[in-house]
Amino acid sequence: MDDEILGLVIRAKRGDKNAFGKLYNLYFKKIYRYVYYSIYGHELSEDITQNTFLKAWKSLPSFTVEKGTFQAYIFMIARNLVTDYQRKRKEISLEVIEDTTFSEEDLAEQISREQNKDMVQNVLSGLNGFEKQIVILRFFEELSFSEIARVIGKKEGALRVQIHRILKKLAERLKDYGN
Amino acid sequence: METNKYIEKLKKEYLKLSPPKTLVEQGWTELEKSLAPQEKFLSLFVFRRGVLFAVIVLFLSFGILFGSLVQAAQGAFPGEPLYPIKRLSEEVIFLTPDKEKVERRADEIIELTKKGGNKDILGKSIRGYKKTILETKKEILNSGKGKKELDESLNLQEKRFREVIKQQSSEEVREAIEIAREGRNGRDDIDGDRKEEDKKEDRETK
Repeated sequence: MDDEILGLVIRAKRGDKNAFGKLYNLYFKKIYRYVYYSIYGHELSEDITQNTFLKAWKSLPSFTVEKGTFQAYIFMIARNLVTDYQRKRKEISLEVIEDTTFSEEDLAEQISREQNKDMVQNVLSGLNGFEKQIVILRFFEELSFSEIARVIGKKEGALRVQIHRILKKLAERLKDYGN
Repeated sequence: METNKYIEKLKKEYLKLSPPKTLVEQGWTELEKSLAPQEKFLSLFVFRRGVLFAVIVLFLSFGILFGSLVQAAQGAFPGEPLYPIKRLSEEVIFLTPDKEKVERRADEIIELTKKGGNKDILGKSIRGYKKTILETKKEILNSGKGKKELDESLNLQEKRFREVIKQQSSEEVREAIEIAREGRNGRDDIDGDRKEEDKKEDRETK
């Protein structure tokens, strides 16, 4: 773990909200993206993102560096919240749970967001929930194998084999999409 | 290689997704209001399991050490370093004054006399012996039981004191005999009338 981040984590564990605020600013966009591409809903993604950090703060006293990085810790919490949500809603692969509460946002920004989203969404739609998570964590958010193993709750060795297989599948999806 | 290119392109598109303005501008401000203060005391122990383990080991060690010390102190006599611990432990062992406490004081007097103990310490022991008898009698009066056992015990103690007197003369032990007798007879002072045979015995031993 980066020394600066470690320093922030130690201070946050002692109750320093400013330090935790800095950690929030470092990771909230990553968490938002990860959650969004797992459940496809802006308002829900916002809620889950905030809840992720709320839970992270609450259980920070029990976090230790021996267990892994802070990044893995925060992504693990996000993943658990996403899983809880999906369990309640029953995951629907392509059907998007859209919300249109962008009233305050610039229209151009909205359109741009939707266009980008479509491409990623379409490629990821050919993968199952687990595979999608691996692609996001490994290839987009660039978590290390050990971090992903911590987030997913699997052994690193087995994960490397699975990632290799998922990469192959992704390559095929990308080729199809390209064509 | 081509796959990597595709992934890079996809990643670029993925990273373009940004949270809504509300989250970007107010996310932390809103979240901060909901953050409860950290439980600092608990975190010390939850975070550092080593500390918790060390504290438990320390308490157990202290408990074992203290227990051993108390055990060793039971054989201590007035004037010895562990004697205060013995007296302190009696406060816990004997919740109320008990004939056994009286017997312990009597044992101490006998041992000290045999060892040729310091007169001051022996004097203190005699006073302690008397005090313990008085406290025990008071407890018996309140509870209404134990008088017979105490009297039997005091009788035995008197006999033991007399045995000691036969071997070595001691004013303090003579005093202890009086106290034991008065305790049996229901008197609280040692300056009362003494029986003829005891006066005679005193004259013979002198």
